[in-house]
Amino acid sequence: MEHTLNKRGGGFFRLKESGVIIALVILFVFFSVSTDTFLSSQNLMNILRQVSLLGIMTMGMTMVIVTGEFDLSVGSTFGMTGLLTGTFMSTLGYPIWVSIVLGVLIGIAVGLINGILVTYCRIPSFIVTLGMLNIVRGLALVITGGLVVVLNEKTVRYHDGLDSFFFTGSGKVGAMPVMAFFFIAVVVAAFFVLHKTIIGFWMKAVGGNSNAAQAVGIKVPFVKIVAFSILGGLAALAGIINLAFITNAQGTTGQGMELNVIAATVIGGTSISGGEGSILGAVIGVLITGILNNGLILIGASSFVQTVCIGAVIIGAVAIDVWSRRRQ
Amino acid sequence: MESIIRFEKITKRFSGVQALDDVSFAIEKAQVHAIVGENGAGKSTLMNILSGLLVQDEGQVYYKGEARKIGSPAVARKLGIATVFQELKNCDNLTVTENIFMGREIKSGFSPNWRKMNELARGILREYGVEIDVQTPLSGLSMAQKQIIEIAKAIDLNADVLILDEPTSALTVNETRHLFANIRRLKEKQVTVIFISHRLEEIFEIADVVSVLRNGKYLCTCETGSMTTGEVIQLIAGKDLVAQYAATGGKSGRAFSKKVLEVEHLSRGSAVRDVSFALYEGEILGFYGLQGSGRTETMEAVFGLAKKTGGAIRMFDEDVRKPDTRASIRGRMSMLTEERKYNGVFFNMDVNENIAVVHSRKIARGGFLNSRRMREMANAYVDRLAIKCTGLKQPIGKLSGGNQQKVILSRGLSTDPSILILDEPTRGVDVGAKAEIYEILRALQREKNLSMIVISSELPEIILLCDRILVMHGGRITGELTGGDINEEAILKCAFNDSLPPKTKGPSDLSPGSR
Repeated sequence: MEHTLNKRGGGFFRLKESGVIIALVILFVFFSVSTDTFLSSQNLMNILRQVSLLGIMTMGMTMVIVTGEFDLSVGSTFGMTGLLTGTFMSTLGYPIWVSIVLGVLIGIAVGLINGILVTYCRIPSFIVTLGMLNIVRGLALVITGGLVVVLNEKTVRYHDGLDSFFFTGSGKVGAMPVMAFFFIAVVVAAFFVLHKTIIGFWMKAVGGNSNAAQAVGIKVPFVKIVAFSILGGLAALAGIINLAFITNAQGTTGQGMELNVIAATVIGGTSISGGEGSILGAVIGVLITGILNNGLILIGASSFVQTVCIGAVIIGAVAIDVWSRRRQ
Repeated sequence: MESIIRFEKITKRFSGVQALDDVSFAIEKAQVHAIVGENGAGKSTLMNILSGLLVQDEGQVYYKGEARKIGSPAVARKLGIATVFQELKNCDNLTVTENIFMGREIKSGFSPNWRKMNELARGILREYGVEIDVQTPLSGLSMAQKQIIEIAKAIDLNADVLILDEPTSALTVNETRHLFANIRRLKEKQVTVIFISHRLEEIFEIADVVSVLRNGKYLCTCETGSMTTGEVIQLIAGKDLVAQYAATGGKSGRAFSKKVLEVEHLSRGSAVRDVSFALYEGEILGFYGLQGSGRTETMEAVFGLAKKTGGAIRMFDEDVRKPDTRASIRGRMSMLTEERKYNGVFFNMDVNENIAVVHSRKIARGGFLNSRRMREMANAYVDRLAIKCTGLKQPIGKLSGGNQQKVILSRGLSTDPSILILDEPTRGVDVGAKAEIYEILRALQREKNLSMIVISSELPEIILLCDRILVMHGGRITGELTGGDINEEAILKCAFNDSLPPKTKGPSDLSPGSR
């Protein structure tokens, strides 16, 4: 048995994420060499801004998938919370901060409902969240009557803080977009939750073997509901920042975004069967999708080609994961 | 006459573990040949070689006088060797006919001719005395019915040799009788049946000869008529265990007075019916019973893994209204579950995490994990139970079965329990590790005055370990044995609920839903 220790390389290559890190570096070097514009600080900040909202949601999705579940409703939650927060500010005339808090709470509530339906009602999460995808988006359209919500000093009654609200969306501190600070803060928080707290440990346990988790006294439904709620809350946060960025909202915002979030999560090495996943991997997954999208535009590839590439990367990433695991 | 199968010097190793060591013996045509041995003795490995799932490292299998390298299940099937595995390999969502003809559908033109296949299937089943609608999906049938279908299918493939791996483990006594009637009929048709079972009574009833394996070595083949159960047990268990066995050495022999756990009129659907018992401080209480007797189900209800439907549980003189696992662990009860893979091990975690996962307060302060505490705790057990691993960070999947079991045992002990429930503590564990685990349990009883409940299907194990044994049958407790009354025969008598039902000549009582 002792010889297995020696066979495993030390340091970097022992990291589960080493495969995706190498892929990220290759992409980075490739686009840096093949274009003049990729490596400019302005472009890199651009990429960071482009991936921030996706990244915030990916952190939550990683937790949900680590518990062995799945969430297709995040794109809708993202869209609806932005839309409702905008409606609270304008049509209903609530103060800005109240609207934001309500928006986040609604996101958490969607996650909570997802979690309860999955655990206590024992409906597969794929079905629950597919249903919620439609319900949530439909509700958003019903509530606003399909109209576009526009935020400016005329439409928002308490518009004192409106500029600072917009600043969270489109502002910059130095060269860094404010959005990116939110992303980084969420990454740090998610890292602690998943890797350093007992609830993160439980998520791993529940996703690895839920029957064993029950046997050692872990409240399996509780853990899953927490993961869904965190994701719902993060989707709402991203949705509200998006509202601040584009200053208007409509019923179709965030359509299809759930697939990008799941793609980034999976590229980051989170196992779809649960129990395996890391925040570091998820961040790299997010960066890979961002760099790929940005770089392909810069080398002049059409958006159709980009779509093909993202698809290939998803399959490739999982293939590498499966292959490396079999070799172990 | 040439033997139908002859093993010659078969050797097989699994990453350093010698599963089969120079095994040579012959199996005669049209006999029922039983193979016995403890878990890990090499029975399954040998049968897997014969059915093509494994290839031997050394040695030769002679089939009908010719040296054959089987190597794949398809080749085995072509040669006429059919296997009915312990875990049945059929599709629950498909109908009986579809299962029987899967992979060899009868076609008219391009489309399958279901009418013809249904007709044939009906004929096949009638021969085995099974009255089942061949168009029902398998999911609605009992284990016994599924098993007969597997056997029927195997024989329909013109098998000359039929391997039955623990065929009765999921069957009731009546269903077993029915199976035996069919085995006798196969024998008349010149089919050779290789029968693997842990139940000696069954072997003595159905088998013509029995071969004994121990620790991967072949011991002997004897006619069942010339042996007693006791002699076979001695052969299976080996001298060391027998010596202990006879002296009942190591048993505490103490009198117990303080009740730590009382269970009264416990029921859980039809699986557990009106079960009452008490566990005393410092006692090792055994639960024996055949598969489906309700032992595991009882303990699951006590520990809170499953809901009870009636009855009362008292732990340390306090009523436990609604047992749940978390409260049980806090109340200083631990349970090692039966199926390591199903609800024991976290394969996505390392040794350290597998032990720590049971704790929340000890390993986390304010919600944050204290990895040093986790390591210290795990380290203590790795040393104490002599767990063989390359380190705490080794993924648990890389450990041997015995060491995995020790990790799970460490987890159970790390909560410092007063009551420890062990469900099949040595299943899938090699003989050496088994002895170690017994020693650990003994020491716990001696030094910590731990009260334990041991569920086991292995008679020597339960007799060796336990101060008192309760036997279950059909969800009820059918016997209680203490001290000098404990012996094989008495236990089995209770396990079969005293009277074996009369032997049925022909299959008769296997109607749908007879379970």
